[in-house]
Amino acid sequence: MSYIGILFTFIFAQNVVLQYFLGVDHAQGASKNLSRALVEGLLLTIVCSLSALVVRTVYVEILLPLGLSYLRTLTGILLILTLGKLLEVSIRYLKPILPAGSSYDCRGITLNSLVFGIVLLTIHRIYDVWESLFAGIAAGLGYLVAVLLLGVLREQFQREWIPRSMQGTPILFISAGLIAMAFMAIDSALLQQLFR
Amino acid sequence: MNGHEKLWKENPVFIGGIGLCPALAVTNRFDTAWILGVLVVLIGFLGNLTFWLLRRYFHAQIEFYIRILIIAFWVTIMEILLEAFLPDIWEALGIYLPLLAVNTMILLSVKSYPAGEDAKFTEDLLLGLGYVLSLGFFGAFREILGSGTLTLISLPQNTVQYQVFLKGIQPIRFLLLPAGALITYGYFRAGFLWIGKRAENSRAGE
Repeated sequence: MSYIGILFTFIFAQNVVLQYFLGVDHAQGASKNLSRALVEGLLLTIVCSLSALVVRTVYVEILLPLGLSYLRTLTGILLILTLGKLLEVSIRYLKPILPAGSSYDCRGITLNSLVFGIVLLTIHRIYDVWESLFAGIAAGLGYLVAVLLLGVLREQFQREWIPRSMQGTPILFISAGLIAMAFMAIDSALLQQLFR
Repeated sequence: MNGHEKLWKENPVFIGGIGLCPALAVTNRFDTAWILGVLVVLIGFLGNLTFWLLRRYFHAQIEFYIRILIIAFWVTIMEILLEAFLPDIWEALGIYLPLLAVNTMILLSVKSYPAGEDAKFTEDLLLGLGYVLSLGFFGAFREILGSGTLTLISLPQNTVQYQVFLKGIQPIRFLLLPAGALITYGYFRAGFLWIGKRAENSRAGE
């Protein structure tokens, strides 16, 4: 499968949030504040791509030859926590460059089920090194696309009349379902024709 | 009264919206739905117990990491057990079984208690019961309307499955798709909010 194909799969055809429901509870909360969600989404992209690459490499090169494949959950979680800690430290050093007054919940980002989910998907689908890197990037961007769409919808809902018990999250989930239906139109057969 | 409130007013899935990732993903069959719910409660309980027993052997600074590792350990144990005894369910759960290691519901139930306070295992179990019941209800709804059958459990030898719809009635296949899950969840959540508001209004009117 080509790299563009992987990008398209996880962003549109099988969006990580709307098809696999990875990080869906974070996504609906994050859509309240779009500028913050943008930065968090970019941080998530970094964490996702790095952890997909690292965990996949460790799993294929170390755990599988030793016959320890049942340790993948523990190993994956440990590596992701380490990468999250690295991110936390590097953010502390980069603070002068980042916009003032911004604080990012690094633990929330590391424990987002998107990161571990995309790691498991890469292992499950037996991607090679570059493919897993691209899958991680695609997962982060897919999350960003879903959050931005939901955030724009959330802003629009404030101007429209909505039944009282539908207000807030219920209508957001129903619209997310409709977006997922729209993404279903981009199926893999079409993509294989386009990016052979 | 307290239990009633925990099940309805603080329902983890339909009111709290926690642990949604597996709740939406595996509820296209009744058996995977209830087994995943039971696993969440079981891992939460065992993890909480382990954490409570080990609490004085580590520094408070690494408490967070210990918590995650305990959960990941129990998830691994459950993975091995499920693969050995219920391979069909293990296959159907796929990536969502190891993903329980970062489940919000389990993370919430494995927590540290303030000094001098006893662990509240019953309260957590009650919240977990709400989770199992919601997942079972959601799974049954989607499977009955979506494929016309109800799978109670699929063992290696035989599958206990009932035909609910009569032959010739077309089930709503859309409900089995991820998009169907999102839309159904939205309507259920609205329904729960509506019921809650009605109960509040009737209490205020008395």
